[in-house]
Amino acid sequence: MSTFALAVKNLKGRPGRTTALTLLAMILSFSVFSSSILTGSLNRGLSSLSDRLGADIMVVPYEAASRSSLESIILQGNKGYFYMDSSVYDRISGMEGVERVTSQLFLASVSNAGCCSLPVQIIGFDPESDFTVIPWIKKSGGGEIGDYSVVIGNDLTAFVGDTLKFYDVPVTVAAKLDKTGTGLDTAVYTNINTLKALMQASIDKGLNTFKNLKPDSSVSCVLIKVADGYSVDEVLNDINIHVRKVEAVKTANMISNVNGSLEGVSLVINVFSIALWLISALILVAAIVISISSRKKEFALMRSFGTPARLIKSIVRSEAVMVGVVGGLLGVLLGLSMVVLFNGLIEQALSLPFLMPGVIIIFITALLSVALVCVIGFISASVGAGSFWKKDPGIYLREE
Amino acid sequence: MLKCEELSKQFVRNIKGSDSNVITAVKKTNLEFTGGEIVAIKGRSGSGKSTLLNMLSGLLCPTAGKVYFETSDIYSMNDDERSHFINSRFGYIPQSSGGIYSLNMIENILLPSYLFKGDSKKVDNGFLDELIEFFELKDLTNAFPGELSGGELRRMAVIRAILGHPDVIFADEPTGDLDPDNTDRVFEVFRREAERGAGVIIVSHDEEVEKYADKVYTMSNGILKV
Repeated sequence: MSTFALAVKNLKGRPGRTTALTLLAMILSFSVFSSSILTGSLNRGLSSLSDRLGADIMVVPYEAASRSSLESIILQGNKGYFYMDSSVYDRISGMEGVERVTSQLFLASVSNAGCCSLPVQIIGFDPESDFTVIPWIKKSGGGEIGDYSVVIGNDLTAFVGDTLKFYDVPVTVAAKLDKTGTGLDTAVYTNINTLKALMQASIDKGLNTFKNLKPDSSVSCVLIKVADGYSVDEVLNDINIHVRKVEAVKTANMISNVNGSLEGVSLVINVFSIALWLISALILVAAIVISISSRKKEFALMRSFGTPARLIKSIVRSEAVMVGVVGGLLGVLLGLSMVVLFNGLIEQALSLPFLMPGVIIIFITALLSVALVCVIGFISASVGAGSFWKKDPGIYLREE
Repeated sequence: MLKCEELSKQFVRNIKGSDSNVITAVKKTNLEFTGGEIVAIKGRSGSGKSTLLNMLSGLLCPTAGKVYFETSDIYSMNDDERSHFINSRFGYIPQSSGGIYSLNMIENILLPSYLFKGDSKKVDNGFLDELIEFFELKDLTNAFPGELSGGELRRMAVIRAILGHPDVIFADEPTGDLDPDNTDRVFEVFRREAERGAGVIIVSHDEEVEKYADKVYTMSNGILKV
């Protein structure tokens, strides 16, 4: 009978003990895996947000542009729109230190009027000057966006080739963007001409808050890339001092605000996870050591017919590793199901960018979580078996 | 075949009101056993007879003295060597009846035979069947220790100890849990093994074992007397 076969029989022979140890291993693996994936997803979301914003400065209308409303549109997918005169764009374009500049127009579709397929935030970009949306479309495998074509965020349930309707204007889905883990995933992107047409339709239907809006002379925000040799703060101050009725916002500050919240959330997750790891690891160690200790007489009996000490150590270590593998895999499966099923809820609850890692990273994290549980099991079994050899088997055989 | 020289064993125990914490369970003992005979060591509980048996069988390291099997000092061997030696030369029946909880009766009996791979020792299936039949355990071979009575476990331990025809059989209170018929059966098997050339060393507080033994020793306060 091999060590493996004997270990399997021992585990099967004591189903209660085996189940309890497997549950402890599962809790440990679950906490290690899910907390790693959660914090990893938050960090990945932040990095994705930073990539997607692309610009150094965002200029928005003063009265509508409290930083929190901008963040709620970009991070949480809240719908909103505000406008300023397009002369702001021309004014900023000519300012010193501005390397690239582009404008965007925002519009929100409505869900209850029957004129729109989806209630979403619609963002119009200028294909001539854009440097934030087009690279993202290209990275996602999309091409040029013609008039009455849209590109949709990854979280929207429409497919390439579908026809959507906004204010009764039909548009075709030309591409679907890669996931960012932010509110941008629930937005629709189109060129500025199409967006102007949609805006006009919304005004004609009386569904736009801005009744006297002129689409051709409006922009929602101006995005700026600062030229080398100029500081972002310098250009930002220049705009805030010289351009009326607007506020220039540093995108890095927006990210750092998010980063601040993310650090706070990550800290809470990490503290709770580490506490859970430690508690479950300690309980697992104690349970394995006590379980081995309760079998001293059985091991002494095995010694009485010549079972070498190394074989008994090997049996208990094999049992612990098997429990670690099974419990560890169950914990990973539970953690994965939780993160996959509830990632939308988690994202909503945390109000932070949340982008799950790729399959390879998930696989490596799963492997490491299971390995950690196995190593703890192996060490505990070694400690438990080690305590057995403090006395000769003859002593244990006589103990009642 | 098996001898001990100046063998003694001391234990440290915390006993309130006692001047010394050191208890000498077995005092300097010299003894030689030859094959082909049944030797009984009698004595009251706590007289040191089980301690002596465990030291002779390689399961309890003596405080002083040596145990030799033929020319080999069994406590000078490393763990692997001594385990292999015990497995191939000795058969041990423990005082408390029990088995490996997760193995059924037949697996419990056969486990010692599977411990060392590449060992030339093979299971004598004919002998195994004969013993199972003889001890009336045929219907219980698939039962687990938790499902067996004390007497059945004791008989299982006897079969496990003698299946490999060891050179020395050590039996600690082998008649505990057994009725007179089964006691006779156990000693009949011991006698057969002794006739084959094995040494059988029994420790018991049961006066009845005397009638089965070729030689009887008495143990009292750690001192062995003829």
